Amino acid sequence: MAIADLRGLIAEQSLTFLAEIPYVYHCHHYNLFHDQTIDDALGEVEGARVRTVAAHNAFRELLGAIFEKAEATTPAERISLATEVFSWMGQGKISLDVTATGGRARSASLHYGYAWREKYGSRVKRAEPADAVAAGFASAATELAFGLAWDGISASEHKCLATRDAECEFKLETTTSQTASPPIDEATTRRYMVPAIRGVDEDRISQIGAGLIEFMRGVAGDERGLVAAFNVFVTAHLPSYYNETVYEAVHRVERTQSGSVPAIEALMREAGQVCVFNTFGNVLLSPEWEGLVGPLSGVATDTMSFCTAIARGLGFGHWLVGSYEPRKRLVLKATSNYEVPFYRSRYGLAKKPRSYFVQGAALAMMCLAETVKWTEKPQLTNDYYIELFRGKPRYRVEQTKCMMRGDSISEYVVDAL
Amino acid sequence: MSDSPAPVTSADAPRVSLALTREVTCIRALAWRCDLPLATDWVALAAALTAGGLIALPAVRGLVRLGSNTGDELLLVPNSGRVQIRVHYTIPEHDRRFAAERLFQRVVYAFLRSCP
Repeated sequence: MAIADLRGLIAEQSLTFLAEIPYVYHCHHYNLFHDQTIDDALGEVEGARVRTVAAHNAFRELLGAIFEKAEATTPAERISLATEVFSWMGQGKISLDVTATGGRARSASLHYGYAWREKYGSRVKRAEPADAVAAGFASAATELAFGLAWDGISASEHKCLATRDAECEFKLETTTSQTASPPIDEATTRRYMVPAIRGVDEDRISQIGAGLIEFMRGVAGDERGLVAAFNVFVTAHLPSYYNETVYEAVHRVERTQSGSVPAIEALMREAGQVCVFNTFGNVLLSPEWEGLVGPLSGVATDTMSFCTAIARGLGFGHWLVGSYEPRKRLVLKATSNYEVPFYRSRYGLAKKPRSYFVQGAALAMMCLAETVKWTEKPQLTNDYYIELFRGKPRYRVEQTKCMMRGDSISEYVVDAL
Repeated sequence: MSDSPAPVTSADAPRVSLALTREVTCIRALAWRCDLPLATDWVALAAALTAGGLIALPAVRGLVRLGSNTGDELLLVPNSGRVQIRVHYTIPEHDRRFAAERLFQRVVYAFLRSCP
């Protein structure tokens, strides 16, 4: 069975699945920023541990579902299929030399390590490995290949491209098993979405979003297991990884350092900004966009519609523009997003709005629509990001409704200051 | 050739330039661009490029995508005249400009050959 045949789609909600496990597309800027945010919240050692555990849990869900659907039963079949899936996702090409008691894994091209070196390598010296996602994947794949219990294998990276090693290397060892959590799958996702509704400029957004979903269906890792598209490195990634790391980090800070909660929430929101600035921005400036949609007009309402369509195209859910008055207010809504099913099924009802990613994304969409001069082909550099988002605040975002809290829809209001 | 982006006159007057400029990009020096006249015979241009050894690759509608045997890519956007040169990410950063220039030369020669 081809991996592409395992894909699923709830078209009206713009939600994508692989073997009925949700997946979305994120670029290396977001992925690296996300991981850094977790480390900032928890410290490097604990951050790496939480990220590795989350990746393990997410890949246990995915690989378990894939092995079942593909009827892969032997260790050799499962290891082979697992590494093929990892490469297809753009996470990198990794080789696993493992038994039921552990072993080793290596790679010369992992998304995180490779992209970190590409982005920061000439300017920053890094001491800690960058590939918690690959470590979690390696342990999950080994456990499932040999029929071991959840958390029966741990993996740690001791060489990494990001720390200037020639290859990434991991050691896998047996460890104490833990209880598994039920997977966040398509059935779970369906429980936590509401019927899609139409927003402003719906027909155009819907058409472009569907075109992008179709385009992304053709995206897969190359011979190194990487995807270079839209001038960034792209991954098909597991929302469970992002969600577990974010909410574990936020909950831990709430329990132990309540005074730091606003700062941590702001960081989580900023990850959404980073995504919109880099991923959405590079999609908008790409030849693919120009071919699919046409040259950018620079008109704010067009850009807002385009950003909404891109969110749908990347599998983020049914985002819609409730209303948009340029230079005054944006009301962005969502009948589904990839944060809600995880939160509700893992933690129950939230006491406050917690859709941090979309909060930040909504603010950044307003900024991109109104501040960036698209017809002048801007360079989406780090300096430009700082100018846009870290200078004098231009906008304020408030999530006024949240499906994690039990509201009927998620709603994000961005006001110009 | 210049590292600085060519000036844009207005959204309604697309750029026409046979200069190679650095493209908007997040991976350093990986993407480059030049702009051809909208009236270019894009079919003839693509044919000239494939005759010169590039390979046609799958692309979204409205786009022509060609690849070299080293993994570099050319993207042609007939409705805007934009040509993007994507150097493969495994090319070391200091060599990317030269890889782009080699592909740019092929575009220019193919363009001149395909002109009526």
